[in-house]
Amino acid sequence: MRSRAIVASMALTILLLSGTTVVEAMPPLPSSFHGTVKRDGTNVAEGTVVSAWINGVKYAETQSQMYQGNSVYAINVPGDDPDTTQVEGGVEGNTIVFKVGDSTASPTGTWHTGTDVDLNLTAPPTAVTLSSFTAKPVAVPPVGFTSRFLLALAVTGLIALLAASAILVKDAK
Amino acid sequence: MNNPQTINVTLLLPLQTGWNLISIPRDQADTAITTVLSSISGSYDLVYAYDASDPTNPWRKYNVNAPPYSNNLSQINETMGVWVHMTTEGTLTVAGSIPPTTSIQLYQGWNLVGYPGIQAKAISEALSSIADKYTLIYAYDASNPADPWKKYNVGAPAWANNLSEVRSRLGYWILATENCVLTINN
Repeated sequence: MRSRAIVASMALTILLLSGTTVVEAMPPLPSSFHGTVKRDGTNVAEGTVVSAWINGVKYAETQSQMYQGNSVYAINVPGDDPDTTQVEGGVEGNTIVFKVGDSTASPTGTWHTGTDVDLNLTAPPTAVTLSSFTAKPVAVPPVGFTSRFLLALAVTGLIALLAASAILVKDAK
Repeated sequence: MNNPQTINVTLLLPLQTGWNLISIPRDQADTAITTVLSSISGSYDLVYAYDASDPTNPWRKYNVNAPPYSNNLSQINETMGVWVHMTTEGTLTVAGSIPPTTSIQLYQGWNLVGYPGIQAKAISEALSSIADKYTLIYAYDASNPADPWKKYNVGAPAWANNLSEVRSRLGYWILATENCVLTINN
């Protein structure tokens, strides 16, 4: 116990004498992108959210705007501060996935500090869901009628079967 | 709030090929970025500034070759630190009046500011208005490519710092511990 305390105090003394402090680095220049943003070849609505993701984490988002008849976007993707444990953004070479609304767009980008790249984004067509169809009513007999009809048919069949069995037994005797 | 004197002094800022972190230490009559940087037109292609008041999207960009919609930096002034990417060496001519007093709002966290002082001053003197409200300062001196980053860490011993004074030509990253106002007097 005592030896542990001595080691700890020595480490603390060395740390203080060396002037070691945790220094936070300033934000690196971002990686910027701009270009058109389309869905299935057509303009997206003005104000559509365009976001930038690295390793499944969103680091920047912007809204589309209209420019000379095209829907366009411009985004600055921040960089990571390597001196902190949390990840604030990208590092050189990271793949950036762009999303238009909730759809993953193509192509991807590559994070490079202090660059502004012209990158036109295309999102896939909006998925068509079954709920978007309206079901057409189909004319079917009322359930009550069907049940009664089937019951009558079964009873008639049973009676016929019993009668046939009785005749067969009688003939056998 | 700035109160420009009538004294107009033109300053020449040599800029290196690549990134330069500068300030525009004069009160400009026209702060449009293309006007302020007109003397290096054709020699730069990309400019960034950092608006700490907008923590979710702090970066402001001006790309000479990009369409207007993609640029969100249109004005620069003496309160701002500005990253300028030069495609060739050049000299920025900064004309304008000397601001007797400049107040710069700082926000907790990183701030990228200009220094519109006439004379170089020791950091403790130049930043006396925010004493005890900052912990770290960085400058980037592009004229020294072998060792461009200069640092002043309040909590570090003198030998660990290689930045001791602030000069009007450079922009500075300041890490503020709280919102405060930096006042620079000439």
